Amino acid sequence: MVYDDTFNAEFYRSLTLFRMNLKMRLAAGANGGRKSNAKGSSVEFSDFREYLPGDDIRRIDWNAYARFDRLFIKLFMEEKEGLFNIFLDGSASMNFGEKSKIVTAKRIAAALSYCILDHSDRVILNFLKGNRCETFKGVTGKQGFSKITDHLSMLEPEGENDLFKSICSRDIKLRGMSVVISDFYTEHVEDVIKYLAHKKQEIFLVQVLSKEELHPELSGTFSLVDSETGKDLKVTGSSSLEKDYAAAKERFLKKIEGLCKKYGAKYVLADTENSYETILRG
Amino acid sequence: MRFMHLWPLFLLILIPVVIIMYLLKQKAVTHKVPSLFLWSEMYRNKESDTPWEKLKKNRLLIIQIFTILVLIFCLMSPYTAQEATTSSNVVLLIDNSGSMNTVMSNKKTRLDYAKNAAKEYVKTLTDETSVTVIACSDRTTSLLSGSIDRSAILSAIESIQGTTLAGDCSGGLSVCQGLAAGNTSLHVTVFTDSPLSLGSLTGTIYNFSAPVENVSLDYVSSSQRGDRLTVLACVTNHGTAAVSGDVNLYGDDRLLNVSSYSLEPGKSDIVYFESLDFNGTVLKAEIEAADALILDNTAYCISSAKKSGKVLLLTERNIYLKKAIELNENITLHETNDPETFSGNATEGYDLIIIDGQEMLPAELPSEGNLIFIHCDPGQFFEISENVENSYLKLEDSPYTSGISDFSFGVTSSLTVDQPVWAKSFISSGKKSAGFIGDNSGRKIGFIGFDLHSTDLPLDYRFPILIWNMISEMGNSDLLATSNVYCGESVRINSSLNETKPSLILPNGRKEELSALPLLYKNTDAPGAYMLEKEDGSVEAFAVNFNTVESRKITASAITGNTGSNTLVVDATATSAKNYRPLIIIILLLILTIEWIVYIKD
Repeated sequence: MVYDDTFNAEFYRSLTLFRMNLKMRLAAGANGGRKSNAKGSSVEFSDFREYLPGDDIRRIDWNAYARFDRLFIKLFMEEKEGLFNIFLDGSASMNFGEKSKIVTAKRIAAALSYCILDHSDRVILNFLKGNRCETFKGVTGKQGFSKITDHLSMLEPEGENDLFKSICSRDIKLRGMSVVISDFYTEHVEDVIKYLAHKKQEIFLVQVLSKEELHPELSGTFSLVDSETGKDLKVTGSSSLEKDYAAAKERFLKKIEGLCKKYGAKYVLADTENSYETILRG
Repeated sequence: MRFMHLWPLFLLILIPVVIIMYLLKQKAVTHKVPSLFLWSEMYRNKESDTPWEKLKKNRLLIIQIFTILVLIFCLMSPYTAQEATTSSNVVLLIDNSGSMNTVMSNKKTRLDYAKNAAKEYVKTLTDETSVTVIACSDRTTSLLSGSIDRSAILSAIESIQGTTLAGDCSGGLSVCQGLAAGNTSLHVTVFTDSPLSLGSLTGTIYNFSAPVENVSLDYVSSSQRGDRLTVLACVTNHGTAAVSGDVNLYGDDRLLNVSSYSLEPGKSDIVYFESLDFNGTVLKAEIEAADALILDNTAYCISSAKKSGKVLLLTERNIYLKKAIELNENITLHETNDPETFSGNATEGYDLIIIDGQEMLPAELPSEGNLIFIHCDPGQFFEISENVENSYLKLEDSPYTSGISDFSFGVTSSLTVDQPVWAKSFISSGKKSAGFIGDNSGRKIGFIGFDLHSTDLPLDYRFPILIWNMISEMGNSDLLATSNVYCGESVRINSSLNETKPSLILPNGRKEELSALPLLYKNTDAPGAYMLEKEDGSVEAFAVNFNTVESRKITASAITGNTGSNTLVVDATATSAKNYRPLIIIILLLILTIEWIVYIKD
């Protein structure tokens, strides 16, 4: 296990106490530890049905036959493996804030991965950078968690990234859950949600914003430079400017929250001032 | 709307300066943000509100630029003026007589106002209008004739200077009458404070005769009583309020006395200075308090305490003539009936020798002094033409018969002459002259062709006046014919056998060499004492005074009565143009208040 500024000893200590249940209905996929809609061969009873020719005669319930004189077979719950895609925004804008957004984003991704692995599900980590999706191979089992943290530690956000294009470049074939961790500074948030919904994904959006973005303190005249594009914008700090910015920010957050409600997605706003536990439980 | 000044347009340069200052002010600190997404969203929403919102963040800049524009507008002194004439030919008559030096409000003279009004008037004319500029006073000076060059016209107007002369624009109107004869579209525009009628001319009179407070010193005069001098000065209040003050009397620049006056509006008073011990030449009286017209606050006179002329009368007996001569206080009369006693050089020292009758003619005529021959033929200087009997003679218009001319009288016998070229006749007999005075090679020669006993002229009141005038002209050897004139009037300086090149000391101290006597000295525009310095070191003087006729214009209602049927009279002393500057200043202050509020709010 590697210790660094992101994943330090304190993080790991808190992680041992962190529990989170990500509910997901499954019907296909590899066998795993998550209950599914499919009937299978687990030890957990699910239902009865009449025997049909071709059924495994070992599953006939002979007690029922004795009582009703009809052949019934016992059905058992199939336990499937949950598939979780975590999309981590790797644009330069994520590398910002006194408490960096990428640190918070990585910790959230790691904590979610830990919970997922704890439920014997599969985590596929996707790093979105340069309009492409760098996919880390699927990890299962708790022993794979260190691989995830090691990989997360190596990721460095930079350059521009179109969130929609980069997610679309990942061809998701199986039903599962997609967690998108980003600041969502894009016009195409709805397109992203639509695309993931189309791919039969349960959607979980985590919007990471720093204190400087949520409550900017500008006094004087500034040339604001975009960390991704390098474009600048001159503003003069004033009370009216702060009011205008706060109004624009509220509209932006409400728009994303509204889209999530519309498409049945989960949404969490992650203030980098808060710990990942507070954010994910919040 | 028109503008008094255009120079404030130069201040438009301030607008780019303000914009540059705003640009410099915008020098921003670079601040990195993760994305401009939210900021752009913010401005997009603001811009979608109203078009005004686009400019909202630059409201101060806009207000400041607007402030500068209003300030420039204010400095340009906008006003609404009279409509220009449509005539293609305009004559500007600008009165520059002494009264136009009257100081009005803002320390500006009437002439300043007139020049400004004339310049603004020119600006209202079309480019094709030809303009003639004439300055009028006692003299009429054409400064520019028929020009369409605006800058030349404005320069000509600006070049007009105030004078000390009396007069009005009547001389200029005469010129205009001549111009109008060949030009029906002539428009005469007069800028004056004098009563005036344009008659048949079409034009406009700009009246500058607003009443002001002014006290004038109309004249100062002196008389010698023994060795003491008495001086009187006439003071007139032309203003609308009662005034009181002091008159200072100076003798040769030394303060002699001070006397007070107290005058109701429109009243005059005589101020006396008695028993003065003064033997100098120049007396100057001065009103101490300054008023609207400075020129009429000082008056000069030449002291009467000067040497009297010596007159020798050679006559058998002529009581009329003797009494008439003795009326002149400035002469000492000697009488004899023995011509030989005073023949040749024996008459030396006499200024005038009067020879009454052929029998009184000495064998040798005096070589010095002026001569008057009464009913005798001297045999030189002139030739007797004929002797007319029982005829009527006439007093002609001349300097010696001023006020008594056009009078005929009968004589039983009179000698007549063809008028010499060097003489001026004052008694005529048909085409001949029976009386003249002239300057012959530095000597004044007078002639009366008839015996005073053989005419009734001595019985008429005109006789002593005629004799007094003749004696005044010839009774002494002074070069100056007069000792007191008004500004601009000419002074005759007589010739003399002993004087070839006298010099004249002007009031400003400058010395001017004179030549070719006799002459009419005309350069008397400056009031003051003019000192004639003769070659023998003696001095004669004459005083030039401001004509207080000009002072009376100050109170006169100048443009009244018949001004002409086609004349528009404009009261130029009232605000003939509506000035918008005060209103703009109020607007400016409001804008500055708004700017302050916006500044605080932002």
